[in-house]
Amino acid sequence: MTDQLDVLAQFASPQFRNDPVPLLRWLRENDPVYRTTKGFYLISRWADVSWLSDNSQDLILRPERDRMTTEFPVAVRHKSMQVMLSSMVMSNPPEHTRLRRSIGRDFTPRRVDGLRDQIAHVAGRTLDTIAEQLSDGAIVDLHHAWSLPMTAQVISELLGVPESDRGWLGPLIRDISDAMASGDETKMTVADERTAALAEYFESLVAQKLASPSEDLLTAVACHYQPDVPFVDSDLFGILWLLWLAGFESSATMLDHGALTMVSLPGHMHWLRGGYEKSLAFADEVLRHCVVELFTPIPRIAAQGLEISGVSIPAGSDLRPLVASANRDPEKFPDPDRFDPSRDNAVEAFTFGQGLHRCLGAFLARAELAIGLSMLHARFPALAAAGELAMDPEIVTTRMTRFFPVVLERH
Amino acid sequence: MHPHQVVLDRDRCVGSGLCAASMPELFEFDDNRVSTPRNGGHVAADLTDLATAAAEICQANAITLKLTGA
Repeated sequence: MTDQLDVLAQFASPQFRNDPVPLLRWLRENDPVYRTTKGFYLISRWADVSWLSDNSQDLILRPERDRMTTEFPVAVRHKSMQVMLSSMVMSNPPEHTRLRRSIGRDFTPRRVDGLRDQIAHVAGRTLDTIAEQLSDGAIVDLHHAWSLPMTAQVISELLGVPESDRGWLGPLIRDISDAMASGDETKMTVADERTAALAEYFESLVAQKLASPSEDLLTAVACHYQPDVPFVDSDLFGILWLLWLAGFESSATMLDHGALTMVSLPGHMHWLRGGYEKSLAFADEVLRHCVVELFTPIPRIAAQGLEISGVSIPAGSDLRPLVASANRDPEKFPDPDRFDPSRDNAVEAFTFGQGLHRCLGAFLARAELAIGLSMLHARFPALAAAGELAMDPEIVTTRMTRFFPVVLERH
Repeated sequence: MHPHQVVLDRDRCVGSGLCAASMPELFEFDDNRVSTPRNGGHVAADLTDLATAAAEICQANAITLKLTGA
C-alpha cells in the first residue's frame, strides 16, 4: 500500500485541497514516518514531532557553509536563499541564541501588548474600507481587501515603516515567498532583486532611525547595525528580512481561516464577544484546527541515526514534521477534528513550531487574530461566505489562501 | 556562591520549549512541559550571560533573573 501511495502527488491533488483531513489521518495511523518520492520523511504524530523539535539542537544539523554547495546548490547563485540559510531559522546555539537575542530583547509580548490598541485601530480602519461595498450587497474578496492589508499594516506599525512606503513594500514579499516555496530558479532570480531592494530600503530606514530615534521596533534594533558589513549580508538585515517575510502572508491566511470558521460554525461566536482572553482562545483553536502548513520547504537533516515510532532512520535523512497532522493527533488533542475553543491545550499545537525554532512572532500573530476576528464579527455579524476559500494550487508545502469571497446575509 | 537566580513564572510559561532547547544547561521540562530551572535556579557565574539571554528571548515573559545578594 505504502509503496503505491505517492503522498506528495496526493497533496497536489484537487481532492486533497478540498478535504485534506482523511489523508493526514491515514498517514498518522498507518505510516507515521513516511518516506516521500523525493526522499525526505514526513513525521505526522504529535509526540514524534514534539520530541524532534525539543531536541533539534542535537538531532538536526545546521547546514555547514562548505556543504551548502552540495546540499543547496541553488543557494550559491541566489542571494535571497543565502539570507535565509544564514538566518536564525537555520542556525543552532550558540549562534542561534545570539541572533534570537538581538531581536528577542525588543520584540517582546510586552511590546505587543502595548500594540493592542494600534492593532485594533488598524483592524477598524481596514474594516472601514470594505464596509460600504458589503452593505451595498457586493461580494468582497476578504483576503485582498482586508486580511492582507490588515496584517501588512500591523507589521509596518510595529517596525515603524512610514505609511507612504507600505504600498510598494508589501508586494515584494509575495515574490520572495513564492520563490522560497517553489525553489524555481526563475522565481528565485526575481526574489534576489526583491531582496536587494528590501536591503537598500531598510538600510536607509535604519540610518533614519539612528539619526532620529522613535518608539518603534526598528529603532530598538538599529543598534545592531554594522557599518563595516554590506547590509544585505548583515545579521540585522537577516532579521528584518525574516520579520517582513513571515509577518503578513501567513497571518493573513490565518485571518481568512478564522473568518471561514466564523461563517461555517456560527455556534461558537460567543467566544468572540467575551473579551480578549476568550477571543484569544478562539484564535488558538483556529490556529490548531486549520490545515495550512503541511511541512517546511527547508531540509532538516538528522545528525545521527534515529528511531521514530519504531522506524529506523539513518543519519543524514531529511525529516519534515507534518504540522497539520500533528495538530489533529487524538493522542494530544481528544476528538481532534472538532473545533472547540474550550480545549485547554490548543496553544500546544504545532502551528508555530516548538523548541529552538519556535516562531518569533507567535504572540503577535495570536493577538492580530484575536483582535481582528472579534472586530470582524462585531462589525459584520451577518457575514457569510459567497464562495470557497481558495488556496494557491502551486504551493504544496503550505496551503496559502489566495481568495475568500464574502457577502452580508440579508434577511 | 551563586549571586544570580533564574525565576520561572509557571503560570506564564506556555511550554514553547525555546529556553530548554536553547539553554539546556539552565532549563529542563517537567512532565507537564513546563520549563523548570535546573539547580533550583541558581546560576553558575559562567552562565550568567546565558541566563540573561534566557530572560530576553522568552516569548511569554516568564523568565526573570534576580540578584540574590548571596
